[in-house]
Amino acid sequence: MQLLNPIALLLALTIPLIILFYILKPRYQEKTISSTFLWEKVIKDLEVSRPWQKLQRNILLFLQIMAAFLLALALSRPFVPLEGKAGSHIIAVIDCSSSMMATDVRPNRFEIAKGQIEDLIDKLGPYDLMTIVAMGEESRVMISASDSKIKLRQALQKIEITAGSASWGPVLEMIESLVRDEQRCKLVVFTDGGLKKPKNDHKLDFPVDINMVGEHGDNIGIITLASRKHGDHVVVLTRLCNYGSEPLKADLELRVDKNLQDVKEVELKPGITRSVVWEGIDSSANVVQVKINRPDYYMLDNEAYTVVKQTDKNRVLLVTTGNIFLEKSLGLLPDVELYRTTPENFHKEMTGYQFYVFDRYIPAETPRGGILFIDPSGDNVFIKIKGEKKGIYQPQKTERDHPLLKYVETGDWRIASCKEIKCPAWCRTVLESKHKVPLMVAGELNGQRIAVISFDLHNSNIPLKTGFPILINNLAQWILSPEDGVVMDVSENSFRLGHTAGIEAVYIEKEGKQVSQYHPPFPASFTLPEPGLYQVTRVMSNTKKTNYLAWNSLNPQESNIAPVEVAFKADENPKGPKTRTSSQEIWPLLVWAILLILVVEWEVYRRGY
Amino acid sequence: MKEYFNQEFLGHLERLVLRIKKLKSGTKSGDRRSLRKGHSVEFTDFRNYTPGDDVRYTDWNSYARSQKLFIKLFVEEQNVLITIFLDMSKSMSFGEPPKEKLARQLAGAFAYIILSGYDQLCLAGCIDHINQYLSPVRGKAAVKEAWDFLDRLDFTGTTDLNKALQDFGRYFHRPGLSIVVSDLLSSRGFKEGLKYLQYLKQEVVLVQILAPDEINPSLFGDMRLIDSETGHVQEITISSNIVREYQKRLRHFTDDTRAFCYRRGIPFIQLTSNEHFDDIILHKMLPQGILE
Repeated sequence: MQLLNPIALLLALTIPLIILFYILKPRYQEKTISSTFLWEKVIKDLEVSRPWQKLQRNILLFLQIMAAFLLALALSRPFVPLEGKAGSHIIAVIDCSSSMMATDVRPNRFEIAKGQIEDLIDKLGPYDLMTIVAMGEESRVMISASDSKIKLRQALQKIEITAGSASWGPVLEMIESLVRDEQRCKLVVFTDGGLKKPKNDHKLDFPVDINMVGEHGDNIGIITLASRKHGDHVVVLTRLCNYGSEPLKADLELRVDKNLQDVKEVELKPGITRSVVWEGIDSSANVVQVKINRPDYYMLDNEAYTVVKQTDKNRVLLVTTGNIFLEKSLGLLPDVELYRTTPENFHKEMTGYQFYVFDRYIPAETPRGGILFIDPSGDNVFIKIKGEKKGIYQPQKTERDHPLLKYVETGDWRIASCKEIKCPAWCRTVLESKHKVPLMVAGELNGQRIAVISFDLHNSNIPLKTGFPILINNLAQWILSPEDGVVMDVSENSFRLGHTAGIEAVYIEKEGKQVSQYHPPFPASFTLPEPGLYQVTRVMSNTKKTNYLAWNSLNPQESNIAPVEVAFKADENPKGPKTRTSSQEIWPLLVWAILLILVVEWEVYRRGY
Repeated sequence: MKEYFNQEFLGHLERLVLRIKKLKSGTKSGDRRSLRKGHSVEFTDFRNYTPGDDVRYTDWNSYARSQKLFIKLFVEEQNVLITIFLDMSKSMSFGEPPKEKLARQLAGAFAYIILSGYDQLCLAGCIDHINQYLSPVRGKAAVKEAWDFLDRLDFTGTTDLNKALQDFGRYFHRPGLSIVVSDLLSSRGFKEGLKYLQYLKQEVVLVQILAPDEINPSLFGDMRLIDSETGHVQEITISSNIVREYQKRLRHFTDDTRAFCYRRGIPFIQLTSNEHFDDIILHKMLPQGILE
């Protein structure tokens, strides 16, 4: 049930008043009289003896009839048509991007914008409607075309600031669809500028009022922060930018695992970006924090975290009699140390590699680790080879979006001959010929990731095609990907687990305080509430594994907090008639009239008229 | 009782006589003229002589003139038994002044008038039966006895005039005059009793006494009314409307009583307990023809 006028519920307060009237009703006063003979006859006359009697002129009767009539009238919700000023539909859009956290106006730009919208709500006319839209990466309509000031305020209070940017385009598209056939609309935007420009050129046919929030742009912020292992130490790179209009000096702190490692004084001219590099940081470092030790109006970009990758470079052993294409492709892979040997020199004791590539060779005993077999031959425990097939094969993907063939274009690949292999149960065919001859299969056997290419690369044009290095990269990524890792999503506000088997619980902590905990079944993606450094603990039957995740709110678009005027094309004159016929419900008046009648009736009854 | 009447007023009373439309025959000769022709000094008519008539009443002067024998007829003067029934119910003790006071005064005055006229007086106090009874007395000497009887009456009972008046049949079967003094406020009624009195060849006079409060009630608001006689409780919210309704009902009751009395040839008089006694006698009883 919806109430058009919830304040009318206050009328319920009159119920205790009516009850009070009845409580106050005087008690019977006892009186002994000579005889009740005639009084009995009077009572009988009035109450019992005559079920129907001639209507008498009685004030109480009149009042009760009038109250009943008014009640019936009120329940029928009568209205009177009014010729009045046409109301406007105001669409208030509030920028929820992180730059609205800037404190150049107190308490911050976002709260000021909210206050301005509240003023707008207060000034709404009796026939005005308002829609409130929260503009972020994704825009949300908080309330649509409402004239209830209470509901509008409630919707406004629910809006929260986001860690990302605000996009102008989706809002405009949404508003266009919202007010498609409406007249007398007005768009009021509360923003500090810095909006992502729309892809299409929008032109609204109603007035747009841009309310700029914010005054100053004094901010120095971190743009990027990265770390990598270089030999036995860690290198940290950060870039800073002065978005203000004055040259600024700031102390830049470097903390490694919360311990202050170094402080550098940085001087930046307006609009200038500068890189700062720290080298020689101990390789045991887990988390590196960089902090600008200077207060400004936008503190979100004054510190950033980076998690140092703990794994060393992956060692890859290529066993081949000679394959320059393969060797070059593997050599291009990042974080890979490529070793090469021949089948003759390969020995089963050659362990310690994370990735083995056997080109036209299968050893009698395979070491532990990820394996890529190319053009396998001979008997082996992994794959059964029926024979060799010759002919021109045009490979086809079995799945459109298989991760091994992501971004790989296979349309112009041609293969002259291949081994006829049988796809084992633990494998899936990734690439096959038109006649369903498997050309590439991949799977996991006893925790070992294994891929098989059934043809000699030299008997194809594939190494000459652009998809080849991508294929090798995908294969290496898949084979080398951590089995139990924690992978941050690109959007940075969520992460995924490599696998969830055996995990009994996942705890997410920030600054030593637990933010959330999960138990099976786990979601595909774990959402983080706000930027910062997180500690993700996975509890298994016997062990606990902890990883750090850093979510930095580093966004040059948002760090540049200087208010930027939003240029916009819009009609200045609202369309639509200036007057309209509306209706005014009069039931509240009737309710008050009924209440008044009840009071009068009680008084009449008390006085005994 | 004496305090109610001074000598001057008693002098007025002595000159009054209760009027009875049909003279009833009494057992003793008195001052009242009987409708029967009898032997007294007041001549009324002649009739032809018939053998066996007392020759003493022959009008010899007429015989001398006409040679015919005529017998002179004279009015026979007799005394009459007059009974006063007084309602002794508790309701009679209500009112300001109490109805019983006027009832006693009225009965006392009637008694004086009756005894002064050499009629026989009988007093009966009624509740639901004849509770107090004064045997017929005669002569002015009995006035004190009658008044003492009236003084002793105690108004505390519950009325049932029908029963009480029917009870009267056990005592007398002589024709006479019966004066019933009551407020008549009883659900048990009174009409049957009056009819029974008439059946006993009584000429009946009905006097109703009401208190001023019963005519114009001063009650108002939420009341629990308790009947003084029966203890019956009636809860009622009294408003001006209800008071009007009560008065209307009282008017109907009075009209009904008056109509009944008219049909039965019973003089009916309604009094209010705060009326001046002299006024009642002089301006109500005399014009009504009850006294002359």
